[in-house]
Amino acid sequence: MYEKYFENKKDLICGLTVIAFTLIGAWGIVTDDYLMEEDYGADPGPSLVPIMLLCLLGLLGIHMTTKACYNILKNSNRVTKNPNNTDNLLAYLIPLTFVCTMFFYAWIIEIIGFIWVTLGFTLLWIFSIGIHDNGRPTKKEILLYIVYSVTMTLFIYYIFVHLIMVQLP
Amino acid sequence: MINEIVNVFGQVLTDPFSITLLFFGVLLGIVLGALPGISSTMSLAVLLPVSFSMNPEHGMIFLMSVFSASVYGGSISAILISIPGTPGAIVTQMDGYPMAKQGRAGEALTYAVLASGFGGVIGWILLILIGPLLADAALHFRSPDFAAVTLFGLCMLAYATPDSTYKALVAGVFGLILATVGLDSLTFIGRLDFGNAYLQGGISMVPVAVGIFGLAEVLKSIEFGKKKLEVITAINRLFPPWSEIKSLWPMAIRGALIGAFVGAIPAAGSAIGVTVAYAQEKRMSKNPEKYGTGIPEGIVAPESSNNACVGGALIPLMTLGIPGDSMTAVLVGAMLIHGLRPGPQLFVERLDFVSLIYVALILAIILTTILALLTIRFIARILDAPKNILMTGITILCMVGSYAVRNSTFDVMIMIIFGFIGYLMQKIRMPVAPVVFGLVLGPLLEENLRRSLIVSGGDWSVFFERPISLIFILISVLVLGLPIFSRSKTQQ
Repeated sequence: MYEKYFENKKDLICGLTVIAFTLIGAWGIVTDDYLMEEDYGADPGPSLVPIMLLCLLGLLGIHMTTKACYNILKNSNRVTKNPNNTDNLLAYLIPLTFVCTMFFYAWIIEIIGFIWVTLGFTLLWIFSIGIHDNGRPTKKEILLYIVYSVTMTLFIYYIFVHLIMVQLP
Repeated sequence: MINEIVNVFGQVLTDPFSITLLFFGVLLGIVLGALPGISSTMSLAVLLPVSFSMNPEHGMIFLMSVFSASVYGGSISAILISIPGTPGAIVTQMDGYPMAKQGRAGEALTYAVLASGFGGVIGWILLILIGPLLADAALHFRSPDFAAVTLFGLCMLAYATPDSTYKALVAGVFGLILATVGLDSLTFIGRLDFGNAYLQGGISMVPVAVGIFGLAEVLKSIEFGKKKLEVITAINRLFPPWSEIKSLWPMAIRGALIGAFVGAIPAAGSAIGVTVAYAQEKRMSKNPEKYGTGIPEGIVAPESSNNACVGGALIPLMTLGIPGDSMTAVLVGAMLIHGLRPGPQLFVERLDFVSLIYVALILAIILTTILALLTIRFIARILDAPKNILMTGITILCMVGSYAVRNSTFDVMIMIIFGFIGYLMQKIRMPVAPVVFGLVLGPLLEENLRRSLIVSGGDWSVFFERPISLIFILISVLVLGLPIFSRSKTQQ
């Protein structure tokens, strides 16, 4: 029963997110005077399809939200605690941190350069994930991680810059 | 068409670079498809940018070989770890893993590779036979028909998605809206760009696909508390007795036919094909209770179906421009980047390119069968590679691949954002493939919709007056309404 309750909570969050996205999209259309000038009756202009899709998305979001609210209210007095502790927020911590470091990577790569930033990022996460999975690394593992990080960085640089002819910072 | 295929065969086989690309593409595809957490869609998405600098022909040879090989590769992890590497290997693990645990991992892998090769060939033959006929018919399609077919493809995707048609619809509409961001292709007026110069260029499909299929899986696999996988690496005898292999031909043929036809239904995907093939064999078997205990029949039928789906999925892609599954959606992106739009016109304007895709596919199938048998023991060892090494490598590839699209860190940001969105979507059990489908098919749908309305003077009945578009619209309404109807019947 708790799993269903948790599913309904997820659906509620999803529905609200969809509504928020719709509102942002609608604001983007309505505040664009040039776009709104187009007459989409006899001559469908560029605003027709975005407006149609945003309306559809909005309706889907409202339906999802109301259904989730209804289910939550219907079942809320039956289960309030998670008996199995399945919604562990700690599970999201590593991916969230990973994403933050990726944003930092994307920002700093053009300042410092591909090789050093990639090397730093790879070493950081190879060790972090390795310690999380297997505990403290042995000397052999440390050497493996360092050799792998350097080799992989230089290999990818070579492949993309010299073979595929893509300029990297 | 046959003459063109023979010509292209000769060109490819005499071009050392093409052979090299085939070889490496197949090897990469098998390895990546075998690695748990890396699906064939992810493999294609991550390697897509690698094909940019090549000419379209070489790019497609490379991607087709990765595509075909990775579909088979998923069965390796299904058999050795009980985790399917690709959606099509979902059923293979039911008999593959028990067989591996009985000490017959080598035989299980051989059954899988032989069945895959056989199924792939059958799917290819159907592609050769049906493709030109359908393309010919599609040349009579007009804008309303294409708009209706695109809508049909999106609705089929929603219907075919396990768990929730409704959520798939939401994801698909989200993808369609993303496709409208940027300059409108007909009037060059900016839409939903919020005055941002980067958004005016639109949201490129490649970083979204790389993020949603690639980075999202990486994020899922590095969650706190994820356990290390136990891999069966001991592979003894590879080849089962010939008499056993011979007795499995009927299952392979049936599986292949089911897979090819299911694969040809837009957005149906290999997961449905393999499930139907497995269920069919179990129903027809004299000993259905043995299925799930590690019998060869439980591997051969689904694997044959899985690889036949590859040829089947290419039918709607090449003839109508509608991807058959998420992997072919990525292939559409690759073709568009090289300036080629799949569809019936491609058969008229670039029959050589269409033939090249067919040739690349059959060569990839043959090479996959050979290389897989030669490298199975080695690949089993790779499966035991530490997760931290794999995931960081894939992340860097995702970053660099996204950057390579337009040499822009904005695309990298898009990839990261959609990677995180894809990860969260999986958490709330929302399918992610429809987002990419919507992004790929959105421009096609809008262009044909607006063109139809311009020609008809704003009269929407044009979509209902033409029989082809009317049929596809009715089927779309039916497939969306079916889950609602069947659910209300169940509740009664």
